Amino acid sequence: MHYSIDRFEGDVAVLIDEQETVCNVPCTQLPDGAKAGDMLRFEDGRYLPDDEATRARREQILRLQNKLRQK
Amino acid sequence: MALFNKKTRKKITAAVAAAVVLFCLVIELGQHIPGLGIPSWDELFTNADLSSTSVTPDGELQVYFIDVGNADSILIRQGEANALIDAGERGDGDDVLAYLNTQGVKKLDLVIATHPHADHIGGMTDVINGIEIDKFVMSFMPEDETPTTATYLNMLTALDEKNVTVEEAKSGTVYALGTAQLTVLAPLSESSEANNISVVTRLTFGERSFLFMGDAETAVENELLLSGAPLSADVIKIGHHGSDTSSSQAFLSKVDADHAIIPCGKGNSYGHPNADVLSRLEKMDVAIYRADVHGHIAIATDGKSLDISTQK
Repeated sequence: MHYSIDRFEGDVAVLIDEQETVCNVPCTQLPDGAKAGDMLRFEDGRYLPDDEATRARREQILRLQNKLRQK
Repeated sequence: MALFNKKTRKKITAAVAAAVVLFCLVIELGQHIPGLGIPSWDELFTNADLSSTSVTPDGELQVYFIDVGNADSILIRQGEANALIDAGERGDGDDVLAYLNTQGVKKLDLVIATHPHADHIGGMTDVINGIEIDKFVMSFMPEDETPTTATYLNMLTALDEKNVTVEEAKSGTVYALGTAQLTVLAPLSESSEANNISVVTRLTFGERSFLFMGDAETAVENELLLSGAPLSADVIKIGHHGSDTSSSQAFLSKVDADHAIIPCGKGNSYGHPNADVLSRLEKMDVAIYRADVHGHIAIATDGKSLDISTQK
């Protein structure tokens, strides 16, 4: 199960899953150094960083952004 | 015979020149030291009705703060023109479309996505797929901080598939909405915090003005204060749902609004609005309208008087 960190609201991290469902999670449950824009996977009851998913998603989005900005 | 002799005329000319230079210096000083209460050049010109951007208002301007809980969505109508700022959270898109439909809006000339957080663009994909949009204005994060949410991906995909014209928000741009004008005031700089790339806009119509803050925080408020841009407004859409990340006393004083709109949800998980922000507004005798208390909030103006009505 993949999540993206949308933003932080005080001590709460707002995560969005791939169905766009919003999950509010205490910051303490996130991996150390987690930032807005990071993608995480949920495994064995824990949120773990997923750098590869973050990289791939970001690349996909940047391509789309560039395409839109050039039209 | 001249009223004054040559010597006196020279002295008067010198005195007038010195006064003009002193005046210019004082105004310039005011631009760099906020809080002195010195008007900006723009404010002086606007008040003297010498502003190049003033247009005679025709008909009525309507601004609707749609109740989408702890999220933003604002509809602006003037004459034949319709604009939408943000579309609430996922699930609100259909409600926004239904609201547009009730108001008889068939097309959006302008849509602004203030920043890519899910409580502002959550409903955007549905809106993009549900109504014709002429121009979509948004701001962008630095490349290595680009958001990765499914929400953002789906919004961009919809923009691409529907071939919507996308424009990057640039401060200083003025969009005409009928005889009203929507001026972009921010973003003024890049930021790692998406709230601080919020597209901040000021809407003017006759003698009345509105300031829409998105989720801009005090860092942006300070940039705006230093920029010398006209910030006064009758109505302020309070930044970040009334959170104390925004709405500094200095900023609120400069805007000097009579009415504040806070789009916040009943029992939201984030403690919005903040008690200190509310207290600041109350001490300034600002009339506060909140989505969790008042539901939909509608403001109409002929350019002179303001008429506010609420759902609850």
